[in-house]
Amino acid sequence: MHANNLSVRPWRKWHAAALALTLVLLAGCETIPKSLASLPLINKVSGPKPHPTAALAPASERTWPDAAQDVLNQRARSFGLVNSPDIKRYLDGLYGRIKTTAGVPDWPGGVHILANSGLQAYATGAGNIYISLPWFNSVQSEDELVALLSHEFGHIYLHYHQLEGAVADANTAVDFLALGVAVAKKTAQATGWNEVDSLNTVYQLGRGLVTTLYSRSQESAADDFGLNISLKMGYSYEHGMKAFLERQASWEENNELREKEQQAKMLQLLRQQAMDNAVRQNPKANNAASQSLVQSSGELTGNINSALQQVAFDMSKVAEKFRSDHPPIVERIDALALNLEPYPDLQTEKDPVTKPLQKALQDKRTATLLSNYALAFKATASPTDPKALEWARKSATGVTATHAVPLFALYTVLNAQPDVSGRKKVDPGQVFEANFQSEPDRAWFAYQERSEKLKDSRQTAAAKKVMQMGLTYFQNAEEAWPQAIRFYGEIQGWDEAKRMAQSCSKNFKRVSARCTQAAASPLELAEVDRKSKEKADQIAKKLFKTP
Amino acid sequence: MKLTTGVLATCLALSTSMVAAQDTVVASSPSSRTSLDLYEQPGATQPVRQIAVSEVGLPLNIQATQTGYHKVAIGGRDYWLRALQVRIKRDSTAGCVTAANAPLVATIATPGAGKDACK
Repeated sequence: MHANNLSVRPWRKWHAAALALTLVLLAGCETIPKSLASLPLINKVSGPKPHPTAALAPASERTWPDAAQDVLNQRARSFGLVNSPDIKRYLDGLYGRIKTTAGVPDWPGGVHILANSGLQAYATGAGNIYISLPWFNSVQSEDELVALLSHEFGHIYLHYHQLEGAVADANTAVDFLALGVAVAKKTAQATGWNEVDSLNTVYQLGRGLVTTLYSRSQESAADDFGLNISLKMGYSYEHGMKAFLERQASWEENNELREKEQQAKMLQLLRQQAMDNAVRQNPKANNAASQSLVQSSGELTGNINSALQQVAFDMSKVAEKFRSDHPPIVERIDALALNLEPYPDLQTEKDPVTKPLQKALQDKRTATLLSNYALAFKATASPTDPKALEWARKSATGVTATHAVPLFALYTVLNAQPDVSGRKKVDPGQVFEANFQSEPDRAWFAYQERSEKLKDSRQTAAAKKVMQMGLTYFQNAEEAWPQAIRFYGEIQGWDEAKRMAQSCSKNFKRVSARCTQAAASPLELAEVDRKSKEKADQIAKKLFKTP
Repeated sequence: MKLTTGVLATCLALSTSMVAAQDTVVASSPSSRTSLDLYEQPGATQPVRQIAVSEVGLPLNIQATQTGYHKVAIGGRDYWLRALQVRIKRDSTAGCVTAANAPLVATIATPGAGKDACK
């Protein structure tokens, strides 16, 4: 049963060392948030691994944010949530069993479905878990679903949401430094790069590294936690944690391939453009030899451009690897496999639990909902397809007639194919009215899209009415505020926007900076832009020692 | 509706004994494993032989799955591999349609199960 030549990859040790080093470096900076060093896992990643089903350390005491407000806030992000009481009931049942297994049956929070076409899942400090719809109908067994939910619950149980507070503190410290920069600008130092800039840069880089490494170690600890709970609940490693991580890995690999294809197309386009430009700039190249020379020169420029672009892609990939919140997923799979290696009794072959999941998926309303969302995603992806209108119309019927994603699909197709309605001119944005009328289905983006389009077509009163309706409903959702502030700034002036930004900052610390930014007038933004460019030039000169 | 439900039911029923056609063996697990055990039958006590991962010819299409084992063809012959010794490429219904409307700022929650793969 034992594998040969198995060894632990060194990334955990590397993380521990990097964390320690970064913290030592930042200790010299008075603005490092004190709470960051006291977070779980910091400097605590060494030592022997406990048994995969060892008793859990007691959960720490905490104050719970309001779970309902948390849900409202998620409804204001991206396409919001899928309102499906049937799926929710099934997932909440699993979540309840997970909490009971962890010894905290009374903790708040439930499972909610994200109206997102990707494989996405996360947890919030309010005890809620959010998974995207494709997770629900991609998993092959309840083992896998429980593994996913247990992993997410691990973040909550291990109280990793303290990080949010630490980052908020860090941002406050950065704000103070920004203030320092502002003060410095009023002095003679304002003409160039100064100590405050250096301190600010070092601080921000250090903060990014600490939070990134911290997030990576969180993911691995949440994997261990997920394995612990799912095994205790009687689910298998093979069909549970292993399958869940393999599916995530496959999804990421597929997207990397997609990204590479896009990059290849872009490089080809760059080459072609350079060749076309060369030919255009040398119209007198009228004989075969000079035409060939021009084309070669264009090809050379194109190759240089595309090579430079390739370097940019590669650099971005390396930077992303360092910045990524997650350790490479294959390393996570390897780490779990190695954890289990000494325990053959935990690796015995077991059938997956599939019947309850089958029953949930076969539920009439759920099957219709899944089918309609699949059509909506298809129509949105190909809005000019001759069948797109049929798909979109079908998607916005029955149980999903008032859901934001199918209505957005219809809206997108009607915009892409304006002639489909015949002679009668139709306002595609009207389709969102169905969403506004159905309280549990309301999504902030629908109000945003509708009000913006009305504003752009100079129907200001109607636009204000829609925005007002939306903000009345989503006023406790912090995510709604930055966009609302920008909207009112453009319609009612920037003084009003700044007044709203003050109120936002007072009530929602986490989005304070975004609200302040949203209240900046175009003139102010242009000035910030100008100063940023000036500063970038100074950095470039400083780095490359140019005069 | 009936058709959709029926198709779903059929797919799920198949998933317990047969894996989706797209599922393939892509690597050993953990990655540092250098050889795989090959079995004549799922659940056999002893492997018929061992093979170096470098000689397997990955990826391998999975022909069938039975509790803890995957049936594959290696060198023109069918064998069963222990599921725990290999990493599987698994299909999903996910796509990137909604990515264009994704929030520009990171979630206020923990990072989530994996990175945001749609860019």
